[in-house]
Amino acid sequence: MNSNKKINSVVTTVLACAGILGVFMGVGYYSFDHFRPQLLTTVFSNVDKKLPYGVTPAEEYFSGGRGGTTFNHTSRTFEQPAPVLTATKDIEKAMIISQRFEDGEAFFETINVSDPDAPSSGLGPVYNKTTCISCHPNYGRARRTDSFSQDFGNGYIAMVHTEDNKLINTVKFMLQTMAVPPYKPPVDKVHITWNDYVDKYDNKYPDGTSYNAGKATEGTLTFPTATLEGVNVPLPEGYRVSLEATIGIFGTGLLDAIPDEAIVAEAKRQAASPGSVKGKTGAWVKEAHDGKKHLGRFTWHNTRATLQGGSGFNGIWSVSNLTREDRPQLFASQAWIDQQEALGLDTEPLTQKQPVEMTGEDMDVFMTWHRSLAVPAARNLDKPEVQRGKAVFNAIGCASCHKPNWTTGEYPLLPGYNNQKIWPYTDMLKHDMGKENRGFTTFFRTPPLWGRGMMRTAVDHTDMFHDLRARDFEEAILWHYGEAKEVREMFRQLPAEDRAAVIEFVKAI
Amino acid sequence: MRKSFLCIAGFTGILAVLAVGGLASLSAVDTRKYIADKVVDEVLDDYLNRVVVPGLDSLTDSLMDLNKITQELTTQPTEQTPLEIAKAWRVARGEWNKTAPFWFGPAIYYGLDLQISAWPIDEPLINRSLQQIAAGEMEVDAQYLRDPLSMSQRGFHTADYLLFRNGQARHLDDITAAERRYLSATVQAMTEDALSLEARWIGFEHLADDKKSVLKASAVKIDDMNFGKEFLLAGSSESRYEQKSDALLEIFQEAVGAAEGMCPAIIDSFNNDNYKYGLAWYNQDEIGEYQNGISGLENAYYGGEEGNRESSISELVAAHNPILDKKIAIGFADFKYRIESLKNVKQLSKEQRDLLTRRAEDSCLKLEARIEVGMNTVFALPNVLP
Repeated sequence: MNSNKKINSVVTTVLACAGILGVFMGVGYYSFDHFRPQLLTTVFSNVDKKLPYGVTPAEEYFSGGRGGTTFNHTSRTFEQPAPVLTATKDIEKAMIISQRFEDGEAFFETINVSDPDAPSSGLGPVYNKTTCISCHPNYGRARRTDSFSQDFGNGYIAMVHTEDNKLINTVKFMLQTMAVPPYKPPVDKVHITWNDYVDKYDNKYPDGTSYNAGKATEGTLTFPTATLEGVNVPLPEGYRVSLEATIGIFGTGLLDAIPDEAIVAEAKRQAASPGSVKGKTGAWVKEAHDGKKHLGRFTWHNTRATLQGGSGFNGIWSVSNLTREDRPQLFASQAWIDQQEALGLDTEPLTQKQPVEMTGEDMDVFMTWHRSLAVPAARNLDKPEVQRGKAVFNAIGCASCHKPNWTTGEYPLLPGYNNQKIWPYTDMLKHDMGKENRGFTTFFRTPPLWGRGMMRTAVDHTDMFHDLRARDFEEAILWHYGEAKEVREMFRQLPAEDRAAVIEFVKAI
Repeated sequence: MRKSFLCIAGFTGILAVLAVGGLASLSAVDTRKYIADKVVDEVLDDYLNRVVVPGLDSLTDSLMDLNKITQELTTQPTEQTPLEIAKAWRVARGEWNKTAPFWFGPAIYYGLDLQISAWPIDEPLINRSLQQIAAGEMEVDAQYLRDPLSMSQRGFHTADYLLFRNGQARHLDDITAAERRYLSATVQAMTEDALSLEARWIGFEHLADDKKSVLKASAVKIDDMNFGKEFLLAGSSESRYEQKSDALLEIFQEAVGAAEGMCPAIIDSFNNDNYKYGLAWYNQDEIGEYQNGISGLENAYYGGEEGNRESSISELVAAHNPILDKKIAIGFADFKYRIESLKNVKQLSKEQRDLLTRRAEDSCLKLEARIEVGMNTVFALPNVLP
């Protein structure tokens, strides 16, 4: 008995000790002060909550291919360099390229001034904006606005043209509204008016719910028109003014790497296919940088061919009027120079050879940055709603124009972009979008959809379409007319859950 | 009694052992994720409430003070007024430089960092406007500076041009009536823009009443953004950040960015014969520019002001690599020392200037690189090569 008591006592004591130890362990387990340093070694990965560190995501997550996708989903997602840019074992080389990327970025972000003694001088004498980033806020798309102002984020350009879509040459294709004194701009002001639009269904779906149901914009669609005030150069009777807005600039190097032949083949495929979708290629453009002909693929109308001759590169000349080594002349019309002369101003500085404000080396650095901006990786592709949205997206014909993927060709300017499978969701072709979307023309290039879901995170808006008439994804779909009218109608006919699923899919890619 | 105690203790022990066993049966991944999420929450919370919110509050307080004194320049100026404005400008400028590590989100959405501190400024255009104001051809106010004028004609550096010469406040009599009106307008615009930045971080309704009044009276658009709330709710449907780690990455990359912003300007600020390549054209306080910049960066890395710090990204770096965290601390100290050593550098020989500015630049680059390595250690973004 004594011995049993002893054993009991020992067991009880051991249990008591274990208990006290256990309590301490339990407390200690969640005591951050004690354990945190060891447990904090978790590695954070932004790919997907379901994917543990070390697991490579599925191919479709790599919107910009293995070499051109960033998994950085912060508010700076649109300004990340493509991983391939510095993918070399030569550390010194990688550092030099990285520095070139940053230097190129500085051209995009800097404020250009007219002060010849200050850095980044060269603004004007006639211009639109003082800095690229003002029209491409945070590297993304321009923001909807009701005034054609100098406000940051207003990325509208005004195109002045005839009724039959011919640009008027007394103002350049990108109307300038600013000038460095004493010079006066060709036009003093552009006024924007927002107009209501009601479709034949009274802006309602077949199930009776209004477009934009539950939002402040419920039941409404709007579109902008523009007029000029203070026209100082001759314009023909009946001229028209159309607005177009900037789009995101990331991923353009990858689009540049798609072979011309592949785009032509896609146009032929569409032409041979039944249905209304018949995309047209851009014209073949002989480009100054290599003297060769390339297929038009950039701008809303496929008017620019390669990125080297493309709108971004062109913009630094035409928006702030920085004269380049290869373009020593001003971006100004003769009519504007005549106007200055008529005002009694000294026009000699306007007609003589201009000083180089951007050297060849500057341009190379700028292009290193421009072509290597990465595309944000897709997200949430495994979610059932997104998968459902993908199926519906394909079923109703969105993918007819928003071609999901391409394979890039040989791209000597950045060999890491060679043979990449990319997911831009564009066919790179122009489509007739109907009279409802008439601007300078009714034909617009299918814009890439990649990264759209990151717009709110990166730019704090979801304004889309050529003139930003669409305030969000739903409106963007509802503004599809012309060749896409049938797809619009099919979208309208979908149950609400499927409409939402399509939008979730577009947000995910 | 003793037996009862031992029995109770024994049962407690069994329960505790079972509890620990239960906890241990949870997968290591879940446990680690739980801990990591909790720590990230603390880091985000402290970053918002100990770094961003007080930083913006101090900035807008100082700008409100500057704005109030500057308006006196057009109403009841005395010889002291420019001196007081200059003093207030330096305080506000210091607060502004400390905010560099949180120029993400609202600041870059609306280009507020670019507009509040536009650089370089366009002196010929400003001078032209001053002539027009003097000739009665133009009335200038904060909104006119925003449009039709552009950002190169307003902000801290424009105020610097109108207020200082050779490191000193200009004499009252030297400041023309047009310059006084222009200075008032530019300070007003800066104040409004900074208030809109604060409002977007904390939500307009949480702004102090006097600040609300200024913003309401301005032409600045007031929206319902409460970015700070979304920052804390990262990973939930109420936030634009799909994952907590996205918000955490903002802190790291912006700290790197703030350092990156300082390094390339050092040589131009202290060793370029053209003062327009520097950051302090007329007030000439280049040292202050950097000291405040470093102070802001330290706040971001350590999660608050000295003496009021808790969870921070420093802790995350230290957990992975304590030596790296120490090296970052040494980097801060070295960078501060190198900047301090540039105090009278412009009076030294060219060789000495070259040497000291290069050392300061190297120190800055080293600090930037270390913070970047820290970021890459904590994050492992897939960087899959083709």
